[in-house]
Amino acid sequence: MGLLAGLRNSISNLFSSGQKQRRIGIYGPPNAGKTTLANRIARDWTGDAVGPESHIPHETRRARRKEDIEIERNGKSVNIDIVDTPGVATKVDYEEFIEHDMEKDDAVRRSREATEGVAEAMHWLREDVDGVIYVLDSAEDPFTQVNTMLVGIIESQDLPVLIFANKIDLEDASIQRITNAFPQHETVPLSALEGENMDEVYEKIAEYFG
Amino acid sequence: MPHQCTECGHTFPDGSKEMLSGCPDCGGNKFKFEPAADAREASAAQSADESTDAAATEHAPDDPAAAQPPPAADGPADASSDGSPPDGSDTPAAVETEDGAQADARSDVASPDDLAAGAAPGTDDIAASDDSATLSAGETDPSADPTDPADDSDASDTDGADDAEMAALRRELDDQFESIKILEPGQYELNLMELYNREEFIIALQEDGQYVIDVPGSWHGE
Repeated sequence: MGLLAGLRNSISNLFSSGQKQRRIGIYGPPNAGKTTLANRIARDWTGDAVGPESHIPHETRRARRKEDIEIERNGKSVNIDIVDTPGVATKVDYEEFIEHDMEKDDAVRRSREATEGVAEAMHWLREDVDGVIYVLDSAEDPFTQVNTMLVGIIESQDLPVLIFANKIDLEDASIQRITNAFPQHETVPLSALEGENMDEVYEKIAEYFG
Repeated sequence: MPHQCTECGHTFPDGSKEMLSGCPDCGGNKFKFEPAADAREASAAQSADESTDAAATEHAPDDPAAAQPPPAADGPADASSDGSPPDGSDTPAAVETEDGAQADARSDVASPDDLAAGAAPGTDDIAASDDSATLSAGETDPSADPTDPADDSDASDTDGADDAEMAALRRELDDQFESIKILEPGQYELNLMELYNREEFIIALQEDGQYVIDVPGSWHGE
């Protein structure tokens, strides 16, 4: 945790009402459903949305934060800020966007912004989060370099982490594959889009980050 | 030849205290350290010079593999690479030459001719002295034998080889340390560990490949 972030947390704690506000980063590869999840959580507890969702990868290119979300579970309440981060990748190529019928100039710009977004996401991970929700697409292979590296970094920071196996509404979804990939962490299945299993999602958030 | 004066090329054995008061030949106070492996390479290249003449001297710097020392060269490595001119002498003679050179360095005062020859590369061209500091196999002591024409051709060949090696090294370092590699506009490779480890926060990529970064120490507005 950076010195600056620590100082800032100390100051904010001084003026807070006593309940610690945890900043939870939503991380994961592109198109895992991070923004859909962030919107679901924000809508369920505040009525607002966090950002636009899209099936085109790297729709989220700047980290977006929704502050002071109060989640009540089993008579307890936790206050969290959620940070929806750009999808993390080791390669960003504008040609991927051209396949989604985008003009080349727009695709190149999106690619550049997405790259900046990854840098921003990594910076947030280093400096500004107290816990991580790691979102994976259950229909995709979780054994990737990005997933291994990011989860490793999160573990090295000793941050509490929950693995969310998203998109369980898809035909190819395999929760077991994700559980096998990260057996050291608790895996919570859900569909943020359909709102499936959100009760367990909030229970686990309250348990891990409360 | 563990230590070599970068000005005149005078060599010193490992642990020599002579260097502490400056090079006895030219007064220089910058020395480069040649580990034993380098000395063996130098020895191998030098023996190649002796055995095959000019063609081999051009080949040796171009092909690093060719400069690998044969096992037999390990023994006299230090002895034959002390800057004495390659005169076809056998191993015992080379050892004697080293002793002679050391004794000469300790006792004799350098002649004005030697000083002029030693000073020439450093005073004429700074780049030349830089090159001499990075010379490798086959030319351990160019100034010690300024009359040897093979030295000049070796130097130019080695310059090319050094450039190629530097370019390869730069590529390797780029691969290793660059946090964002711009393959072409719109195509990027990201080194996640590097991005994570850096304190700077890259906030914008420019069209021309430059970064705009937020340096640590500035206050991030809430």
